[in-house]
Amino acid sequence: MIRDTQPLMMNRQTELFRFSGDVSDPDFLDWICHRANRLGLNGWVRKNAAGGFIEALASGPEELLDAMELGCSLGPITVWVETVVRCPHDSDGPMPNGFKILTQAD
Amino acid sequence: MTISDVARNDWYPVAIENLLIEGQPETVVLMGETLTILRAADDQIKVTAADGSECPLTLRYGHVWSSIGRPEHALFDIPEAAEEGRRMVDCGPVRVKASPLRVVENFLDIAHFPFVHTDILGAEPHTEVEPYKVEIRDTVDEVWATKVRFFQPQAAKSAEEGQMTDYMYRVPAPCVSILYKTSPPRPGAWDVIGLFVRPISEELCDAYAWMALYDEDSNQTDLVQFQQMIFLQDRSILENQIPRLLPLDPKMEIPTRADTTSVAYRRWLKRKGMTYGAQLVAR
Ligand SMILES: [Fe+2]
Repeated sequence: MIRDTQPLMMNRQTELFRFSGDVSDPDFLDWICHRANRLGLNGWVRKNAAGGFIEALASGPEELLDAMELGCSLGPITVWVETVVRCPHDSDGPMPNGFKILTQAD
Repeated sequence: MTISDVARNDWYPVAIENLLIEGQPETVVLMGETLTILRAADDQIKVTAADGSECPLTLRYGHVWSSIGRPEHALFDIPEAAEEGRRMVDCGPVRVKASPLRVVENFLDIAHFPFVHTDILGAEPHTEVEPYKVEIRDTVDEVWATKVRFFQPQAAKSAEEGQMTDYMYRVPAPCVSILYKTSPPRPGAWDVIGLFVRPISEELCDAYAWMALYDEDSNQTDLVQFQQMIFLQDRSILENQIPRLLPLDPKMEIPTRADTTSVAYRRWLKRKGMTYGAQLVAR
């Protein structure tokens, strides 16, 4: 059983996530955004059309970034996430308040 | 409903071999189909479907295994079952009003010990699960969780005091989980506890516990009772879970690091296409 508890850790960090595999369902972006908002993360997600993967920048406590990875590694039934790569990101630029989907225009 | 091939063509426990009495047929339901198990006068065991056709049969680990399909693989191996000096204990089936996959998932959940099996398999304040390793082993197509360590007030019937217990978990088939834990009388060796689940429907199952232990002192009844007491604690949790099916889409849940094994198990089920007992779209 997965318990609905959230660890309260304050050590915020920013990471770039790359989800690859069979991730072409456009609804996956909404799914990721929903997850990030439930976890209270700030950042964005977008499709990297050239690379054929999904990338997300997320900022929050390490435990919640771990939860982000774990939830998205399973994802919706229409998607198969083969790998998740995470790397630290020095974000001097402004992070959005909340989490949003970036379109090509962004 | 259609039952996916991966669910249909697998082995499931249908009876405890020792308890089959010659000439007295037993009937069980496996994924909606009624099977009859009979030990004939020549001591041969047979499993037949409702239409009279003969079902596949394997006798292993104290249980009779059968299928409503045509398994193309042999039943999974438990090499420890052949080791000398172990006691094999069949604990009998416990009926659970939950998805068979939920029952396996619960068995894999290390973090529930202090909350569900309070003062036996876990206790506060020792609720922290140290980081452990979870992997899908592609060569054998199994889920493994290793290097699991946990403080337990009474790790087994044979345990006299609290101890750090080492665990390993293995999922060799969607409805089977095997647990390896430090043997209290033999700290260098593993006790093995298998949980073999027979889906009756997607939301109802019989769970058979089986143990291969190093324990020369406890009597059989005590061993069975200890295991049953533990499992009845699980059952009351399992029967209250919502939804009853195991979600393969975790949209309504927040899995955290303590749920790593559960997520690996669900990923593995999803990749196999094992959807019997699973909820595919979160509601
Ligand atoms: Fe339990």
